[in-house]
Amino acid sequence: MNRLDQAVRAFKKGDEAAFDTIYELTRSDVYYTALLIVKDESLAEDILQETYLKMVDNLSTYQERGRFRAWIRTIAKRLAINAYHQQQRDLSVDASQTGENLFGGVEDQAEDRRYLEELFQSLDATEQEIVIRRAVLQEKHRTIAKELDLPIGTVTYKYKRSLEKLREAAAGKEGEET
Amino acid sequence: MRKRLFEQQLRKHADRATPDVREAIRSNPRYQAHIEATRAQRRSLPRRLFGSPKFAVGSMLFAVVLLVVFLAPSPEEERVAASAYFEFNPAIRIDLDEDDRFLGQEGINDDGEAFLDELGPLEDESIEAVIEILLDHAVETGRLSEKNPYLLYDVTGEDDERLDELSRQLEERIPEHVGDRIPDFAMMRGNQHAASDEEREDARHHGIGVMRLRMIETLKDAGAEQSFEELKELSVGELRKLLEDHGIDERPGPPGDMPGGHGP
Repeated sequence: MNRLDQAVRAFKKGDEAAFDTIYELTRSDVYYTALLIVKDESLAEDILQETYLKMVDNLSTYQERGRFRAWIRTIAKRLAINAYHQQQRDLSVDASQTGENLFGGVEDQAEDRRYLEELFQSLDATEQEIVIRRAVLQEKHRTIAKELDLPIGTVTYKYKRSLEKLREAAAGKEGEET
Repeated sequence: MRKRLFEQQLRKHADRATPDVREAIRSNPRYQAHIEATRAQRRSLPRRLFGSPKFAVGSMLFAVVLLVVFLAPSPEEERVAASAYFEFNPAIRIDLDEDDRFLGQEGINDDGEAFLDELGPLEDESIEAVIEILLDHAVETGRLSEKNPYLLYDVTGEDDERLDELSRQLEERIPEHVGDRIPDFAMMRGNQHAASDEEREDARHHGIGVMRLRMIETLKDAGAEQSFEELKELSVGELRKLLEDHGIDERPGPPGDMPGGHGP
């Protein structure tokens, strides 16, 4: 049994400290799953919170088969899809918040967020999504191709090219700082 | 190596850039209710078991009951009269009793397990509701879609007459339930009959179910040009088409069996 499964079992039994482990091991899966759908950081943050509350509400129904990460991502995905549809219905939504860049739009950003935002400026929206899915969410190229309706070869090429762009951007930033 | 290192760094930055909302979650009444409920459970359990002066007698009785429960044959296992198998990439099995009432479910490949985990327990549902829940979730999550409109199924059990009736009902109800959402939905009968443990393990190893494995192996035996890996990536509809192209119209059966045969 891995660390995540152990923490889930402990939390089910009421070990509150285990929640920290669950959160730390899954927060980026949840957050970026939501962000890719709603493309709005503050909304993704709300979904992040609601996902864990839904997880708590439904934990008794979770069957321990080492699939917790997939389970919590499904909760996040459903909530994000609902939020996205609500966002589309809401005519007062600011169009700039559903724009091309995944990052940005949130003031008072932490250092890592700012760093990512700056790096990701070198990528277009599809490249950003491919990098998040592959590098952060660790989805397979095949899954990404299916989700984005792109040939698998295109996804592989775009991912490779995007990493090169990001590496160049990171090297440029390091050069600026020194 | 350099690429992998950069990916790791990226992942680390992304992880640290994720907002920390733990305090908001912890202060939410729903979270507190869960903690309170589990604490109450923990508090009450030891008192019931150990607080009583009759603990020794109670625990002995408890042990006897446990022993009886573990040694007795499982009534639920005995009651399984028929099983329905479905493959639409997730591969799952549904068990029914002799009155076609729902008894339980099992994922028979990794995708199938993940799919059922997402649904939670189905035990109290009727068989009609279970089928509808499965189909709705498959459609909602895109596992059944306009691009992947194929459902492979089979029913197994001892009473052929009942299996024919069950199969007829599934073929009638399932397209009715999803047809309006997936206009090209196609349901095809596979062959799960007499699947050996070895076949099941082999199929699982490849991330598919036995019915699909048999289709692929029949195609390979018939001289299909594609590799096993390439065939594995094809949809059920594409596999069926290839089988037809090779002049195989029947349902591929177990190794050594005639195509479509239900074996001995």
